[in-house]
Amino acid sequence: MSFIEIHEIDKSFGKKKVISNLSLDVKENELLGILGSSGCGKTTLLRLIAGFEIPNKGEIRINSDLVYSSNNRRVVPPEKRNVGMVFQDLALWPHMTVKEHINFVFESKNIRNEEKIEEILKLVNLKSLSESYPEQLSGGEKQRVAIARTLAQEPRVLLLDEPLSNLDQILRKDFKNEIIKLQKKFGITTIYVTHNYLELVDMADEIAIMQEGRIIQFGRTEEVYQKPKNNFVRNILGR
Amino acid sequence: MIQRFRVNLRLLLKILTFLLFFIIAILPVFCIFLSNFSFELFSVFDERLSSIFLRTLILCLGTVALSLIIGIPFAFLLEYTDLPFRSFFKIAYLLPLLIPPYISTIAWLEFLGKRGDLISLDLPIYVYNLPSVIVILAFSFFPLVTLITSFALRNIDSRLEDAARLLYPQREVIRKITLPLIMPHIIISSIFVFVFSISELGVPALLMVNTFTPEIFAQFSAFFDTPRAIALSLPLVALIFIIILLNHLYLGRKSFVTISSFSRKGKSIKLSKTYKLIALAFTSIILILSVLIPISILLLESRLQFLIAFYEAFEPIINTLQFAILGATLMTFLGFFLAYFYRSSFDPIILLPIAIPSMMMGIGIINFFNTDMTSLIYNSFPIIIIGYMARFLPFVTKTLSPFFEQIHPSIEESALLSGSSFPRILHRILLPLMKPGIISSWVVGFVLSIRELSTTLLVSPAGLQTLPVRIYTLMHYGAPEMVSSLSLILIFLIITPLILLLTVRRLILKLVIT
Repeated sequence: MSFIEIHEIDKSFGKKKVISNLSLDVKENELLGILGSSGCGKTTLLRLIAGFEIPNKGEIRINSDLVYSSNNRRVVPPEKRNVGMVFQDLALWPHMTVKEHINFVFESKNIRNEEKIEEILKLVNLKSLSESYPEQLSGGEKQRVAIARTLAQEPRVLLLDEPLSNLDQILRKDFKNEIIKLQKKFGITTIYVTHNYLELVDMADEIAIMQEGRIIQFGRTEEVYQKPKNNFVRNILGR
Repeated sequence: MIQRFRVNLRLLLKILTFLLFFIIAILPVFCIFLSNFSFELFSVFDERLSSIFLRTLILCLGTVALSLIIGIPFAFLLEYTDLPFRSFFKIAYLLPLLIPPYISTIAWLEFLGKRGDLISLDLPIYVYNLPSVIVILAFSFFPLVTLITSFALRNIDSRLEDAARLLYPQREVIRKITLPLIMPHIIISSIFVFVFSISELGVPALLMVNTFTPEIFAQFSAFFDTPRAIALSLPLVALIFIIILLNHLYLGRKSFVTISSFSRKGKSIKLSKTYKLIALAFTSIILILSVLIPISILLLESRLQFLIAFYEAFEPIINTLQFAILGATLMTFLGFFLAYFYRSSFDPIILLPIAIPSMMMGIGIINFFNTDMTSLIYNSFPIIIIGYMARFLPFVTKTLSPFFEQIHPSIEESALLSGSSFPRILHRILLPLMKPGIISSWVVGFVLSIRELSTTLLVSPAGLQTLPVRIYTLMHYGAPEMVSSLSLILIFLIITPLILLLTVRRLILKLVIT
C-alpha cells in the first residue's frame, strides 16, 4: 500500500521550472532513496512534501490524507502534516539546550511530560548532556539530538535531506545505523535524498533517480542497480 | 634581517593604531573623570539632578522602545513578506536616518506653530514635552534598528525555522525561533539608539525638555561647572557600561547568526490582501511622517531663499563639508587598522567611547587639549575633527569588521608564504578586497560627522562654525526661512555625496563584471 502519493506536481521558482509533472509513490514502512546530482530538484521535492513550498499544480497525499491539491485548492500547513525531517547540518536551535529541544517538540502537541523527555534522552544516550547547548556538543552528540528531536515528534513520515554530507566517515556509519534502527523499529515511511548511491546501499527498499525535475527511473534498489536505463543512471550509480 | 623588519612594521602599525585611538577617544574623558572624581560628587546629586536623570532615562528607554516597535516589524516586512514596492522601501527606509532629528524638530515646530500650538486647526496640541522628544527621536533612529535586524534576518539559517515549522504555525515560529535568534542584533541596535538618544542635544533643547545633555551644556558653557556635569553623567555612563557588558557576556556564550549559505533567498511569506494594505499603510505612514512632511514644510517655509542662505552661510557650509570629508577619511583610515589588528579581541574597548555621552566627550577633549603644547589643535579646526573621531570611530570600525571577517585568513597566509611583505599584502590583497567595506564605513563616518551638533558646539574654537551649529544658533533668533533653507542645504549635503558614491560603486561593479 502506498503511504505517500505524489501525483503530477509542478513547481517553478519565477521562470525556472524545478519540478515538472512528477509522480511518485512510497510504500508504507519502506525507505525510498532519491538519487540525483545537485540542482535536480530533489531537495525541492522534500520541501514540497513537508509543506515548506507549495506546488503550482498536482496532488500530494500522506496516509490517504490530501495535504495538497490544486483542484480542491487545499493546502495543509507543515505543522499539521506530522512530517519529521533531518536536515543537512542538522539545524539544531543554537539558543536551546538539549532538553529544551525535546520539550519544544512536546509543547507543540501540548504535552508536558518530564518522564517522556527523560525517556527519549535516555534512548539516544544524552541524559548527562540535557542542559548543554548545541555548540558545546560534539558532532556525534549533535546528531543524536537531531534524531531525538525527530523521535519525540513521532512523525508519520521521515524526510532526510543529505544527512551525511558534512560528516566524517566514522560519524557517517553511526548515523546511518541509527537511522536504520529507528526506521525499522518505528516503521516510519522514509524518504532519503542524496547524491551518493553508496549511502543508500543496504538501506533503501526502492530508488528513484532524478534529473532536471523528473524521475527518470524508479524501482526496487537491486533492480535499478542491475538494469540502469541509460548512461546517466549508470554514472550516478557509480557503475 | 628582512624578515625582522617586516614583523616590526606590522607591530609598529598595530601599536600606533591603538595609541591614536586611545589618545583621541578614551584618554580625554578618562583624564577628566580622574581629575574631578571625588566622593563629594555624589553630594551634588540633589533632587533637581535626580529628576533630570529620571527624565533622561525615560527619554532613552522610550525612544528605544518606540524605535523597536517601528523598526522590527519594518525589517520583517522588508525581509519576510511580499510587501508591495518592496525594493523601493528597502532603500527609502534609510532616509529618516539622513535627516538630523533637530532638523525635523525645526520643521514640526514650524508646522505646528511657533508656540507649539496647531494654529490652523486650533487644537490644543502642546508639543513642548517629553513624549514629543521621544516620538521625533524614534522616527529618526528606527532605521538603525531596521538596518541591523534586517541584516540578521537576511542571514539567518532558514532551516532552523523550517525545523520548527514542522511543529508550529508561522507566527509561533517567528516568536519562538526567529526573534530569539536575532536577539543579539536587537540588543546591539537598542544600545545604539540608547546612546544616540542620550547624546542628542538639539531635540530636547528645542522642545525645552530639560534632560541630561542640554543641562550639561548649560552647566558647562554658562557656569563652567565641570564636577556637576560629571556627577550628572556618571550614572548614565555606568548604565551603558552595564548594558554593553551584559550584552558581551550574553553574546559571548552563544552567537546565533552566522553568515550561512542557507539564508532565505527571496522566500517570502505571502500576505493576504488586507494584510498587504495594512503593511503598505504602516510603511508609508512612517516614511511620510519622518521624511515627506518635514521636507515639505522646510521647502514651504524656506520661501526658496536658498541662494541668499547659501551666500550668508557660505563659510559654515564649506567648513562642514571639509571637516566631514576629512573626518570620515581619517576615521576610515584609523578604523581600517583598528578593525584589522584588533578584529574581535578588543571589542569592549573599541566600543567603549560609545558609552560616553557627547557632552562628556566634548568637555573631556576641551580639557585635554587646552594646553600650551596643543594650542595649535585647540585653537583651530583639528579639535572639531578630533571630536568627530572620538564619537564615531567605534561605528566606523564596527562597520569595517564584518568585511574583514569575510576575508579568510588563508588568503593572507598564502600571500605571506609567497614572500609578500606587509605593505604589499595591504596594497595588493587587503585594500582591493576591502573596497566595499571602506566605502561603506566612509559613508557612515561622513553621515554621522556632517550632522554632528552637540560635541562640535562645545569644542569649536571662536570664529569657526559648522552648518549644524549655525542652524542651531539661528533657531534661537527666529528667521524661519533662513533656518529652513539652511536645513535643506544640510540635508542636500548629506544625501548628494551618498548618491554620488553609490553610483560610482555601481559603475565600478559593472566594470568589474563586464
